[in-house]
Amino acid sequence: MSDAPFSLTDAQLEHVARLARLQLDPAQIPQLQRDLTAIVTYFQELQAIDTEGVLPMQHPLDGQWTLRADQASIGLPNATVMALAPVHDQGLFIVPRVVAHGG
Amino acid sequence: MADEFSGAITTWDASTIARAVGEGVCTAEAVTAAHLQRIAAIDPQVQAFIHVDTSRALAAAQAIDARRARGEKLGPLAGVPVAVKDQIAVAGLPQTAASKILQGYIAPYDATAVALLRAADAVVIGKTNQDEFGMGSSTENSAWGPTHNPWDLQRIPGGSSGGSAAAVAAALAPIALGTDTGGSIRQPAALCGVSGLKPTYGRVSRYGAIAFASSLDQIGPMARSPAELALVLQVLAGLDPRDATSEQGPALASGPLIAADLQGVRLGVPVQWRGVREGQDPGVAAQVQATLVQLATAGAKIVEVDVPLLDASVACYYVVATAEASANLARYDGIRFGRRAAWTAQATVDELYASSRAQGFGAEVQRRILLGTYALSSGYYDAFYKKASQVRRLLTAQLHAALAQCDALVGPTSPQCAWPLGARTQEPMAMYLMDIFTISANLAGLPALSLPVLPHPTSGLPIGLQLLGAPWAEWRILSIAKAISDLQPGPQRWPTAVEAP
Repeated sequence: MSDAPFSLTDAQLEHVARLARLQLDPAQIPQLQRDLTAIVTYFQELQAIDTEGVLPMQHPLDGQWTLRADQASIGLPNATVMALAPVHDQGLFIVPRVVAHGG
Repeated sequence: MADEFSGAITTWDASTIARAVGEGVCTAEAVTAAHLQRIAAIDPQVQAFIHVDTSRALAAAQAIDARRARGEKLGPLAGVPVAVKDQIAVAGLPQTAASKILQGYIAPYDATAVALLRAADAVVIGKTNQDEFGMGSSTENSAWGPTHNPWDLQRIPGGSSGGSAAAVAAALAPIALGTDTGGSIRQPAALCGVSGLKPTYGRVSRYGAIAFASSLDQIGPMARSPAELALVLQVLAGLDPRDATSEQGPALASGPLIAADLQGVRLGVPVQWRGVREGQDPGVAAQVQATLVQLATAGAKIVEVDVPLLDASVACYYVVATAEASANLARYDGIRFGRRAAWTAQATVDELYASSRAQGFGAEVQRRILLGTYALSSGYYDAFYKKASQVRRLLTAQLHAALAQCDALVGPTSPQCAWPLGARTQEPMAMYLMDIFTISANLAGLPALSLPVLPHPTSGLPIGLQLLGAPWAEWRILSIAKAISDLQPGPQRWPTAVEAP
């Protein structure tokens, strides 16, 4: 990391928003940039801590799961689940096309 | 007997209600009706509830009464009304996690914690308000508007389980469920003058709780005393085949909670939590110190411990929590989960994702998704997510070493009492720093609780003392908490800003 004060650029914010599938409201962008810059600057305090050779800890159980028996069980009734979908037809969920037009 | 069952039903604690209903002193229906009536009268000011389930709560209570009439023995929470944080599924009730993106979603099943409460004959009376998806420390990040602190309606109740804390404090329910990812049970309990417990990671099944940060989230009880927390924990604890991260763990004691003998208790005060830190109310520090002096006088041994990485815990936590949140919340895209934005035949699925998420998520949730996505993105993963995960292991080791020297770490739950509504909404970083004392328990998976101690010397607002224990040591910290609450009266019992029950 360089010593220059960190600042999240327009391009970085746009890139992260695209990765996160979030359509940003242009009016919010300057404030978001200020907030995220301040928070990421604070995160950078972690860089000063010596973690050489330390195994990352991603979970309190460190992967020691207690798995249940691999047996089939009855799930929720189809009609209960379908009732939660905004559009459905003949037991299928209706969604927009995945392949762009003209492709 | 006469004393125990005197006063308004809404002032009874859960164990008193369960005894009264079990012995036929009063009906579950009368208990439920009394609480529903108080909710109708008081909750328009407090706004603890998002949804009150009047008809089904009464029907459930009547069913419990019918079973007693048939001679059946009732469960340990017979007829006890329980308020459930909106993050947690209750079959047939809306479950939005206070987010617009889940508006209209009706949970088709009960969370395991809720099913266990029902099996113990508790009665679910409604869903409580919270910060959206649990992201916040004030319950102001709710799509349905803020909850007000029953001690001062112009102040926040804490968060994210602010509705549950306010409901218990205002005698709208004797017990409630919350979720705690970085202090979301303990901090609102502290700010509303009630008790709250975040169990050891794995002690209580999270099945049916909407995931915010899966390696940090826990469900736990909120109540008006440590003994009540213990009673509810006994019902909730245990391995659940539906949650691979749940564990049986060492057994809890059976029977009621007994206060620890303070003569044999060693409490560790981390030097990093000592004195008045930047951003801390000196009145909070003073009352915590006064409590420690009282405990020492009563025979407890107070020792100093050094946990240097506590100073890095906020940065560590917010990297880990936002990274996990960005991954967990990816499922709300208007297709798999979440309210779908309007779309035309020309729209691509990617455009629909982005617009559904922009319309459905509030500002703080969007901020955290962006932060977490950044921390996990190519080129930044090692510097942020991996680094924070390494610091997490070092911090956990330091906490375990400190806990080897004492029964519990002790300090304030929150650096401040309840602050005025709106005071910190424009400064996310200032809000994050309010979590300084609570987040290390989540990073390390340790049990921790908050109990009310002496109120603030000038404002009279509640102050919480936090006890943080070794893995699976819930019963030990609960019994110490009971000894502390037996020793000192704590705040005046009922909040002053709403009519007393």
